[in-house]
Amino acid sequence: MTVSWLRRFWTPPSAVTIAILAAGPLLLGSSPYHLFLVNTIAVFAMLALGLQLVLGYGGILQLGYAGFFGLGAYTSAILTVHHGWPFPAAFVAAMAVAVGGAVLMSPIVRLHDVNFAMATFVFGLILELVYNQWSDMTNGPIGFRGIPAPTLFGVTVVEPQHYYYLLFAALLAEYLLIFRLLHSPFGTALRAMRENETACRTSGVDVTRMKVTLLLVSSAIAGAAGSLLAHMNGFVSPPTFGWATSVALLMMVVLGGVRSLPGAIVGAAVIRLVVEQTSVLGQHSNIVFGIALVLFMAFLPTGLAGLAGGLAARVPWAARLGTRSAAP
Amino acid sequence: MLETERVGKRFAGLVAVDAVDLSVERGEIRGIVGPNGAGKTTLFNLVSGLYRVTGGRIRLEGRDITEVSPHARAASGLGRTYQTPQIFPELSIFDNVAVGLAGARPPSLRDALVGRRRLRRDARTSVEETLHFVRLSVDLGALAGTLSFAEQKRLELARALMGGPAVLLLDEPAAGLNRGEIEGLVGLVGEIHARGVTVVLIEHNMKLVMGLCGRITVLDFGRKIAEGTADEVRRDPLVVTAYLGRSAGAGV
Repeated sequence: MTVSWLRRFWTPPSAVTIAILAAGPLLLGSSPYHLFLVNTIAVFAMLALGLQLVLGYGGILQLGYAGFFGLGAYTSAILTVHHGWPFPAAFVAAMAVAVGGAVLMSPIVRLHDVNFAMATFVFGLILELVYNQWSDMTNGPIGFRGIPAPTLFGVTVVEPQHYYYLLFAALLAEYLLIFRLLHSPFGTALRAMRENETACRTSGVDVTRMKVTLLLVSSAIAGAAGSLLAHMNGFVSPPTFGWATSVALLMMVVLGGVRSLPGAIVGAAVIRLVVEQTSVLGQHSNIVFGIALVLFMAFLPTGLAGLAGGLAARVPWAARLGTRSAAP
Repeated sequence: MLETERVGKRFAGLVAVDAVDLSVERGEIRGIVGPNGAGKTTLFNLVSGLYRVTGGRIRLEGRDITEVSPHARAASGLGRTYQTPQIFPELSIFDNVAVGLAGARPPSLRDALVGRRRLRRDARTSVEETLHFVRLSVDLGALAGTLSFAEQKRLELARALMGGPAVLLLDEPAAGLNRGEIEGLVGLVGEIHARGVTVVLIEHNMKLVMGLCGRITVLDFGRKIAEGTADEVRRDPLVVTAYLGRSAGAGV
């Protein structure tokens, strides 16, 4: 409590991780494929962190998360291509539109458990349908082409190794934001809510308001990630923002470990690599995911973070790494 | 201060609380007694907003709160504890108590992102003061689940006090405590009362109720059957019947 959130964040493991990530392009050399892969992982890591916040910490089953990712991507694409907006403005608008979508969805927080999850899933399906059908705006299933590389402070970020730093900065900013949120009275109320909602309510915590706030924040994150993806690839198409992506994001959180921020990032990396390796399977890769999800829930419910924590408990030197990175 | 007007709660066919009128004056310590299943806790759940009434109105300081949500009732000065302490076992003792601040200052995104050092320091001071007040001297960082039952009850009380309640509902505060702990509790309730808090308590320990409460309300089968001072209530034939059975009541 007296330890500031920043001092909690700056630990030897986090400093080493940041240093390694900062040197990323140098380590990867100039292989465009590897850079593309790492950049894609960074975008999905942003999404996994956002989903971790709402699902892991908030206990809110948001199953339509990829739809909000799409809202950001299409907003940014349409505004820059059709209306000539500069990237920073389009980026902010992408977040705003995603938040707007979440505001539209927010009345469903009155629903509970399965009903709520179903409603978010359907909301995601509706968004996917819009991306496919509203051809005038999104160019439908063919996809939206020619999204320009972003220009920031007069510099156009074209090269993947430069884009890497843009994504790295965004991911770090997001991580710090969520970390700080979790170490504030808001975070305390969140954890309390998960343990005993009744006691929270009679102690003055507005549980509904907390849930809506989480939905909005996580949607802003998804919108930002969508914008970054659109300007990175220059092309977006509806399947990226469909239910299969929502499921993959869910996998990232479960695999990495529910309520672990580093876990979400590791989960995103692992799942994206698996996606790359199984891309030859096409649609069938969903079968692999489905089976993997069931196996993980059954045998490793705490995910990789839990596995790491369990190892840390056994290996003396690893314990020092484990305690600080443990989720709040 | 706290009024219920013909408040009722019906679960499917069962009438748990039946048209109960209750009027607690400012500065009172009111006792609510009655056999098990009389509807005492249900009445508390109605007053604190966990249940919706199926009839009647509830007023707090003259304001109708019948349709107000539980967190807003807490924010407008209604605190409560539970029969079995409802704490957050996996949270630290500090955090457990600090959650009680939510009514006064809802945890917001803005407070979380803009550094508010003073806010944090103030919170720490009042958590420490409140824990000291309820005589809980423990490590603030320890998990609440490690506390004993009696300590958990005091922790819960501390959380309720953090909201600065005008009315405090205590659901069987002495249940599960030993004699020494009950004596401490009686002193504590007296001190809370002396701070200007109106107290309503459900209790089976008659000695405690008789000693603390100016007026006592007796419930049976969801209905109010008697109300008055300890002596008045003790002599009431309906009360004797409710506790000892009909034949004993007839004999009085």
